[in-house]
Parts: sequence; C-alpha cells; structure tokens
Amino acid sequence: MATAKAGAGGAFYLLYKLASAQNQQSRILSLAARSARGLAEFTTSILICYNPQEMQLELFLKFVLNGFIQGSLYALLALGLSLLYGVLRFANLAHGEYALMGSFAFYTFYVLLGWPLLPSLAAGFGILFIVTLLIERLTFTPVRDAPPLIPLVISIALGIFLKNLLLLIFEPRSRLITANSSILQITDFISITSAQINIAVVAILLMIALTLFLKRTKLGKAIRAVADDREAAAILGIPIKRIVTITFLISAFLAGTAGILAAFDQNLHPNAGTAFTVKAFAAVILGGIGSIPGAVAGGYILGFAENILISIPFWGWYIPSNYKDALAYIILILVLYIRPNGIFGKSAEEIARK
Amino acid sequence: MEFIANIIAIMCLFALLYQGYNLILGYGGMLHVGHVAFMGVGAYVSALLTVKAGFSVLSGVTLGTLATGLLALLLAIPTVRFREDYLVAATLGMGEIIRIFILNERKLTGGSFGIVNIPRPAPFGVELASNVDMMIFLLIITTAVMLCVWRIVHTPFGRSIESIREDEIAASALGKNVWLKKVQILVLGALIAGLAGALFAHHIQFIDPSSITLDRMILVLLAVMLGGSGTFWGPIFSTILLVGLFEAMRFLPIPSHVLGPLRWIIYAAILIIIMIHKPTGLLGKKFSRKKL
Amino acid sequence: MNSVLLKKFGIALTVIGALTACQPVFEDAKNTNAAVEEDSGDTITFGVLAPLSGEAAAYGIPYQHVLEVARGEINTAGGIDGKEVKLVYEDGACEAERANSAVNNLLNIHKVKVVFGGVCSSETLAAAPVTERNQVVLFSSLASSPDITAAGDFVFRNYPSDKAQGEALADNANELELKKVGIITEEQPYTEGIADSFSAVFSGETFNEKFSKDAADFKTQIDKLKALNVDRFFVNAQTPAKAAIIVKQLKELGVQGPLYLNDVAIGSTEEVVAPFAEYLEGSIGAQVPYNDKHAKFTGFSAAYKARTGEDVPYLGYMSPAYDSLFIMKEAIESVGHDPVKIKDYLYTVQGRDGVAGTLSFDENGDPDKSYRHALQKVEGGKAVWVNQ
Repeated sequence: MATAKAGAGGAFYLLYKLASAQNQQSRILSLAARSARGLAEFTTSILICYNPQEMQLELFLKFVLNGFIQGSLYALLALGLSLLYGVLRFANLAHGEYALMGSFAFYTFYVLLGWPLLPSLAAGFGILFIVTLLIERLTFTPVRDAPPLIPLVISIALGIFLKNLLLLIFEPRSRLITANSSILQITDFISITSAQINIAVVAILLMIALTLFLKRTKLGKAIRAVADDREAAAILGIPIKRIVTITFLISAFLAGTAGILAAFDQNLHPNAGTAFTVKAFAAVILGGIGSIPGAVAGGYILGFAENILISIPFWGWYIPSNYKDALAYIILILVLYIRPNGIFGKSAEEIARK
Repeated sequence: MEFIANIIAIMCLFALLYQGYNLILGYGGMLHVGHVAFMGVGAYVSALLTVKAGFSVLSGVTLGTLATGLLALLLAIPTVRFREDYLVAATLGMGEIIRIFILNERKLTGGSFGIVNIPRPAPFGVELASNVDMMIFLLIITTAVMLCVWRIVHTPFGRSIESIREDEIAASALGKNVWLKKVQILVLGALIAGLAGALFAHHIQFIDPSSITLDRMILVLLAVMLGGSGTFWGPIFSTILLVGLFEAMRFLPIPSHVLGPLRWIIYAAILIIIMIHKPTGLLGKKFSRKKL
Repeated sequence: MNSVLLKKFGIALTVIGALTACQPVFEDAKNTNAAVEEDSGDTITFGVLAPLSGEAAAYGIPYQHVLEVARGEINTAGGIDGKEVKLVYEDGACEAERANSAVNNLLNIHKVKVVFGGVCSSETLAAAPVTERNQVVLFSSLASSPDITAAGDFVFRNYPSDKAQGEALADNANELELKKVGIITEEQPYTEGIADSFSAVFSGETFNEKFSKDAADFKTQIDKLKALNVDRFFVNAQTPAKAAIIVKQLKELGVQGPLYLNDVAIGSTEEVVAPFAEYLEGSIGAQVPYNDKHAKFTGFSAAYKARTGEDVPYLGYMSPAYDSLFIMKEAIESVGHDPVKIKDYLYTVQGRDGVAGTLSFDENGDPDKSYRHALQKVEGGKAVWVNQ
C-alpha cells in the first residue's frame, strides 16, 4: 500500500510540475493546467487522510461518496451566491432562506396538495420567483447605491424575516417529503439512494449548463460584463437593472433547486436556512469571491472536508460528529486568515480596481 | 411591583448589551455579528466560576467580564482589518464556533442542560433575592457604565474613533493608528457585553446555549440601528422601545405559536424599513446617501 | 418619520395580519393574555407553563388540550370545593429566558399559587428558582431531566426522570447480551439524560453520536456507527419528526433492525411507527406505564377525541398530565389552596391510582422507584406492551 501511495504521489507531482510549467501558454491549456493542479492537490489530500490500518477501503470510499454528494449540494448553493456577489458586489446572507422557500413551496404542492411532480416543481419555482422579485423590488432597489453595510444588514434581516415567515406558515417541525426511497446497493457497505443520485446528477448538469450559459449566450456575457465592470457595461448600453433582476432570479433558481434536492435526501425544516447560507458562504470564500469555478471547487472541498474529516480516525481519535457544522466555520475562518482571496480568487489589485 | 421591577432589570441588561454593540458598530463602524457570543462567554464564565468553583458573585462577574475582553482582544487582532462582508463571515463563524463548543462540551459547560442554580449577587453579604433588589442593583451598575461610556465617547479618543468610521483612509493619513483604535473600541464593547452577560446569568439564575443564537444577534442589530448607531442615547431609547414592545405584545389576543415567529418578523421588518429609509436610526443625524 | 415610511410600515403589517388570520385561532389561548385574574370567591386559578410555540409545541399544545379536558371534567363535577377551575397559559417556548419571563408573569400578574409545567426540562429548571423563591408549587408531568430532582422543595413531577428510561432499555440490552450499542442522540437535556443513564447501566460498550437541534442529515453519525460494527442502533431524538428522519436514513443506509427507540419515537404511532412499520418490526422502546385499562381512560380518550378530532398522542406524557390536575384537586380539597400545605400533602401521596399508573412521591418530589418505564415493542405498525 505504501508503494502504491508513493507511486500515485509521484505521478501527481509530475503532473503538477507539468501544469505549472505550462502556465503562460494558451488559455485552454492554462485552465486545464490549473484544474489538473487543483485535482492533484485535492486527490493527494484525500489520499493522505486514508490510513489502511485504521479503516477498510470500502468504508473510506463510502465517506468519499458522502462527501461528493454533499459537495455537489454545497457547490450548487455556492454558485448562486457567487453569481449574485459578482453582479451586485454584496453577499446575500438570506441565500439559504431562498433555498428553503423553494423547497417549502414545492413541498406545499407536492405533499400537501398532492400534485404530480412536474406541476409541483413549476408551481414551486413560480412562487419562488414571484417572492424574489418582490424582495428585490422592495428592499434592494432602494438601496442600490448605498454603502455596502446597508444591503448587508438588510440581507441579514431578510434572512430572519423569511425564516420566521416559514416558521409561522409551516410550524417548526421537520418534515419528510416521502418515507419511501429507492436504494441501490453497490457493495456490502456502500449504498446510494435515488435522492442522492439526483443531487449529484442535477447539480453537475446545472453547473455545466450555467457555465455554457455564461460563456456562450448573449445574456450570459452581459451578466459577466456587468460583474466585471459595471460602468463600462452601462456605457455599452447593457440594461443594468434588468441584468440585476435576472441575476437575482437565476441565483434564486439555483438556491431553490438545491433546497428541493436536499429535501428529498434530508429533511425540511425552517431553521435549516442558516446552515445553508453559512456553508455556501464558506464555499464561496474558500474558492475565491467572484469566481464561478471557485464556488464549485469550494463547495466540493467543503463537502469532502466535512464528511471525511469527521469520519476518519486520527490515530484512534474521531472528531465528534456534532462538530460537523463547526468544521465549516473553522475552514471559513482559516481561509480568511491564510488566503483571503481563496483558491481561484482574483488578486488584491483586481479587487481594488473596482 | 415585582413584575415591573423585573422588566426594568431586564431593560438595564439589554441597554448595556446594546450600548456595547453601539460602540463597536455605531462608533467603530464594524459590522461584527458575534456580539451575543461575547455576552454568552461572560455569562458562562461567571456562572461556572460561581457554581462549580465557589467563587463569589463579585469575582465571577469581574472575571467573566475580563475573560470576554481577553477573548475579544485575541479575536480582534486579525479581524479588524477585514472588509465588511469578510468581517461578517469571520465573526459569524466565531460566534457559532463558541456556541457549538458550549453546546458540545457538556462536562465543562453543561451543554444543552445549561447551568442551573446560579446564585444571585450578594453585595456586603445581603442576598438580592427579590426583583426589586436586583432592579436597584442593576440600575446603579448600568448608570455607572453609561457614565463611563459617555465620557469615553466625548473625549478625543471617541472623536477619533468616529473619524475612522467616516473615512478610514483619511484618518490614517492624519497619523492616527487606525488599527489600534479599532481593537480598543472592539474590546471595550466586548467588555460591556461580557458584563451584561454575567449579570444576566446571575439575575435569571439559569443559562443555556439557546441565549446566544443568531436570532438574538438580529435583535442587537435592530436595537442599535433603530435607536441610532453612533449616538449615545440611541441604544437606550431602543431598549425601552423594544422591551416595552415585547412585553406589550404579550397582551395581544394572539395565540402563542403565532406570536413567537411574529415578533421576529416584526423586528426584522422594522430593521429593513429603517435601513432603507433612515439608516442613521430614529435618533440619528440626517443621512445623506450621496456622501458616501 | 415621513408618510412614505408609515405607508410601507402599514402595508407590511397588513400583510402580516392577513397571514396571521390564516392560522387557526385557538380560543383558549386568549387566556394567556387576559388581564389580572385572581382567586375570586368562586374560582380557583392555576398557571400553566408550556411551549406553545417552537418545535416543542408538538408537546405543548396537546398538553394544553389534555389539561383542558381534565379541567372540563372537574368543573362539570362541581369544581374544587364548589369553585370553578381556571387555567392561565404562558408560553415557555422550551427556552430558559422565555420560561423565566413567563413564570414571572404567572406569579406577578396572575398571582397563581400553583404552576403546572414546564414541558421541557429547560423550562422547569428556569422556572424553579422563581417558584421556590415565592413558595409556589411547580408541578410538571413531562419534564424528565435528572437535575429536576434537586430543583426545589416545592417542585414536583409525576413523570419519572430520564434515568429510568435509559435503565429500562439498558436492562433489556444486557438481557440480550448485546456487546455494542450505538446511540444517535440529540443535544438536548432530555435525550442526553437518557443516553447517559443507558450507558451507565449497559454492561457493553456504548457509542454516542450526537447531533444538534438544527441538524438535517444524519448519515455521518450512522456511517460512523456502522463502521464501529454496533449490534444495535438506538434512535434518541427530541421530537417525532427528527426520529422519523433518522429511521428513514437508517433504512436507506442498510442498517438492519430491530432498533431501540426512546419514548418519543415509540410513542408517535402516526409519524414514526406506522410509516416504517415493516422496517421497525420488533423494535423496542420504553414508555411510562400508563394504564389503558383504568376506569377513566376511555372517558379521557373520548373527551380528547371529541375536543381535537384526534387520538391522544404521546400517551406516556399525556396520561400523567391528565392525572396532575386531579391530584391537585385532591390536595386542595384536603388542605386548602395554600402552597405550603399543598406541598406537605403531596409528599404524603402514596399508591395513588391513576390513568398513568400507580404513583407515590419520594422525598424529592419525584415518583418513587416503583414507577418505572415499561418496555413496548413494535408489532404490526403499533406499539404494544411487552409484558401483557
């Protein structure tokens, strides 16, 4: 086992060197190089966590799988938050509550009213969009030009407002979407449910779709333009207000999807929004504010860190499970101190330029 | 009388908490969302020392306050340089880590069980058993602290803090040590919060982690923003308004399971409206959006 | 403030008001906020401290219904010494601060001499110093933290401490000669108390995986316990909804039954036992030995159903709650509406037969050792007593 590890480590190291050397050439190559480097660092850190004497491979793989699923969820949440941050320059601390609104709206139609799946999804998202528009019009448009402190406090207050609205309407109980689940047994220890497969598949599809949208479509490019340099975009005739509204809606859509996917796998509770927001925030900061691939990377790193670090023994000692959430916060703080720009983040000069 | 005395006692405690935060946010301009965690640390340290180690209430409260100040100092040193959103993220994280730690470490802090039978203060051997006694005690302490704050705010130190809030770059160009002053004001605000927390623990005689959740933080934010951040009387005004509002809402014919979330909805809505229309608060100066 | 501000404020309040109106208004809740009520010549008023909001309202609201059913019966039969019984409710929200404020209200505004409640241990523990200071009787039928035993002279409960529940299940585990048990425990005084007493008595190894109140996902805890190869899992959550999710995830992760369930889980037929009937077949839990063959039991269930349209939930909790009002009636008819005398009387209660079983108070105001949790088993989607 040790030789295998050494061999893998060596191979990755070579890849790493190669990637760094290629840095200056074509954009595609440099992107590929950066990704390869990221992957190398990442896989190595996971491999380091694994100690064959203390755990079977199968168990470890199960934790890696858990991490991947959770990571997909976080990546989706982080994506919405990052997009909004890029365009509006402020952190939406009610992001988790948007996710919850989406899932509760869906729950109302799917479970309480018994509608079939697709109409429930449509209706759920419909309600989410209407509420998002209302919120944007009433609370953010008036303070568009205010110092960043004000929208920040407003989003904090909004989070509490929405959470308690949900508590009022739906009562503070956890709810199950369904007691049934289809289970796929892969090996003795490893099983995966349809809900989890959905999370991974939908999340990855959405990520790809979003990237293509931002790179290829006119609207996507307009959004990127506004995020990059608002004044220049305005001069070029891009309708800023409309772009902002559209970005809000996309962000809400991503959040709502994440919320609904999570509801099938976990439970639905009005208090869950805060955790979503903080984890999304941690992922965005980890990956680098303003960077879309950063948000995705941050989400996955967070997911893996949470699940693997909690589950593996460190020389016989386990991190207690109830510190799982605290882990996200600790990672957040460490990143802020050590590398505030995150992994893919823009350098200090770029941010200062705005 | 007992009933009203209790309300006034609670008002004193919250006035301290909010004024402490006013120093940090209103005067120092730092959007720090771990303030209730400071309160919690003060409360827990004092409670643990008096219940488990037999310290007197006086030492407990003093040590609790100092512990909070020390913690704030340690945490402040790296964070004061942060930009708004980073500061929110970092302090959010810190506050939650403290709360989770208190919740998980049962052997040390009692965990979810909390700490019971915390003694009432007994200055000069006379135990302050009734609410009226506590009210008088707390009024005296609160007035004393407020006088100190008044003096601090109206000294050159206070003015330099305000100048930092208005324009950090200009202030540092004028030679003021921005970083140091921010740390000082943060620690000062935290000390007051720790004091409020310790006194709270000894008044209610019970403390558990549910007092330091993020929901409570919103109330602190609201109080400072509503009354007028950066003004001396603002927090005092909002304390009376908010505690009064809360007690008055009790008497409405609304079922409790509605009243609970409704209170928070109203608080949040008021905060949003204030931030949109009068961010300097009810007692604050006229706000010119164009200036910044 | 300008008119625009006021206008927006008004709109916001109207929207909130409209939403509020959609909630079923509970008539008796108006009691909560009425003006001063004192013992007039022909009424006796008791205070009630219960979580009427928040997650624990799942227990608080049925508790309220049960007390109202008992109150109705007492009043129909002539009240206490001919006086009508009234109850004033205050919301403790299962939080220390709220409970403290609520009990202060009960004592200072409504001037009651007896308080029923709290439901959560945290409520009772926060209220106890206040009631002790004022020499008011605090009588809980649901709070189970071991700390309450020593909470005060005037503090009573007819619900056994968590120690009993953990011990009952641990005895069973010892009988079955299990080597390792994995408990999934919520971080609340109630559930942690059960986990503690279980591991104290169980002779094998206990692995306790905890989760916080806001946790949504338990796969980490379950996988860790699976990795440790425990013989049996123990679902120990504070509310039925959480218990249901844990059971669902246990099933999804391929954990084989039977399981151990705490009384919250096994007492919730609708939310936990029935939906997972097949998976939970043979699982064991412990409940307070309520006596469904008691003379008054049928009347109790029927009245509750007539009032709410549902069967009595959590019989383990609601049976002692029902009895509590009658116990107080007996006390007052015996010694009068004086808290000190009532307290002395309660300590002498021995062998009292009720819907919740046979009750005797010990010197701490707890039910004595004879009142133990009894085991129940899941059979065909319902919980049935093991020894009957």
